[in-house]
Amino acid sequence: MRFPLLFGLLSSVILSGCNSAGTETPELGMPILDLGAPSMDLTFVGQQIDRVGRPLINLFLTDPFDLVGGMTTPQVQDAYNAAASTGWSSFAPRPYIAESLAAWDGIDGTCGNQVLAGSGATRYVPFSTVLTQDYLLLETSKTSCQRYLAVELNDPNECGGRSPFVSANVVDATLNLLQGGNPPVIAIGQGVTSDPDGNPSQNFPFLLPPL
Amino acid sequence: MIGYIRAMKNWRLCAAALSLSGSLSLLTTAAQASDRQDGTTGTTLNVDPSGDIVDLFAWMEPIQGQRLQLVLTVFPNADKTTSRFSNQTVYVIHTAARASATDPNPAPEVPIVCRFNNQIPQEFECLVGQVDYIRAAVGTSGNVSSSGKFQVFAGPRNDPFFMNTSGTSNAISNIASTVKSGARDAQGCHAFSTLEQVTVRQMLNPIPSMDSYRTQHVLGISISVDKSLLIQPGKTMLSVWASTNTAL
Repeated sequence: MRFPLLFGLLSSVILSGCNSAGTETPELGMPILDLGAPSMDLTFVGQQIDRVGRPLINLFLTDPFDLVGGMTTPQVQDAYNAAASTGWSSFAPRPYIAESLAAWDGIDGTCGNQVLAGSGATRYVPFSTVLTQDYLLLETSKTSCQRYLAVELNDPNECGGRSPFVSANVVDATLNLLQGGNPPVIAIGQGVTSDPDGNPSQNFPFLLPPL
Repeated sequence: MIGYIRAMKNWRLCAAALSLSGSLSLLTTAAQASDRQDGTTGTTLNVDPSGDIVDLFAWMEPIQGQRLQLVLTVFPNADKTTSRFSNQTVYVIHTAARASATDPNPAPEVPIVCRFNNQIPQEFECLVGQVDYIRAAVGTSGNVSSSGKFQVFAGPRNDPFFMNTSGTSNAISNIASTVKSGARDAQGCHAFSTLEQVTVRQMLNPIPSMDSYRTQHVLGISISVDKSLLIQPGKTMLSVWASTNTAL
């Protein structure tokens, strides 16, 4: 098994759900902009408009192939964006992310060779359940962060997360994970492997200034 | 804090109201990456691009490893001169410390929250948890909290994402039509023929393949924060996601 931690993640998800409780720390009484709220109690945070964790999830996996009956792809994306963490797991089974995983899995000509693919009717549920816990995972005791999904892939040397630097071609990494094979029989890519505008800086604030 | 928890509950209610059986408009939008311009046209997300998340990055400072580096980008294809953060939107990065990726009891969330006013020049304030604070003007550097543990920059930046969007969209459309017209097994998988595989690969990677976001800009919020503000003893792993929310 090349991805034991993904199985562990799945178990955690099933057993515990997602913690999204707020903190209970004293207010500092610091001055606040003249934007309405008189304290740091975050009462100004309202309804969720958009969300993101791992890149491309809401574009590659929330019904990109229009396979959800009765809803358009943008409608599924709307629901995904608005969902609170307690509702994220509802997107795991068919016809949602598991359905998309099934479609991606076959593009290399082989069904069932995708990471975490099981057998039987729930073939794609393990992977979709992990993906629906849609956050970046970082091991903060590591200082090397050159590999996207390093934590999920049980890499002991990398911090995981996602850096903006050239080494993190998340599009091709995601595509190959979705088509399956370990490694893929024929790696796929979309032909752009770096930002032609230049690489972000290691120094704060990291992103290049406007051109 | 009670207000924050109340807001979180409200989000859940809103999510329930927007359940998958809900009836929404039938308008469509083009697929874009990596998160930008998703959802139906006409929604708050697409009417006001300052609330449209483009990307989230999170990594550790590579020398000492003491600071978590974060970048949240919004506003696809922003104008580097005229585009502004919204004073009607709150920008939230949600973090939670964990003993491991499989920790069944993660620590309570420590959010990093930023909001903006509508003045010229535009100002912002950011809170990390409820323990550190920065107020500064958009586009200015050197914004460090009094503790030194929290640094924020907000302003227009070059879009760091790279992808051939048209090729990818064409490939996705091709996969959709192939899957819908082909035989699928009981789990929904269609095993592509050799010709179908080649077609997908060629569509993904046309020659020449160009970055669709070349010379484009976004509005970026860059953050450097001491990890001691986020993690707890025995819980060195962090989960990180971001949201935009309406400002109450």
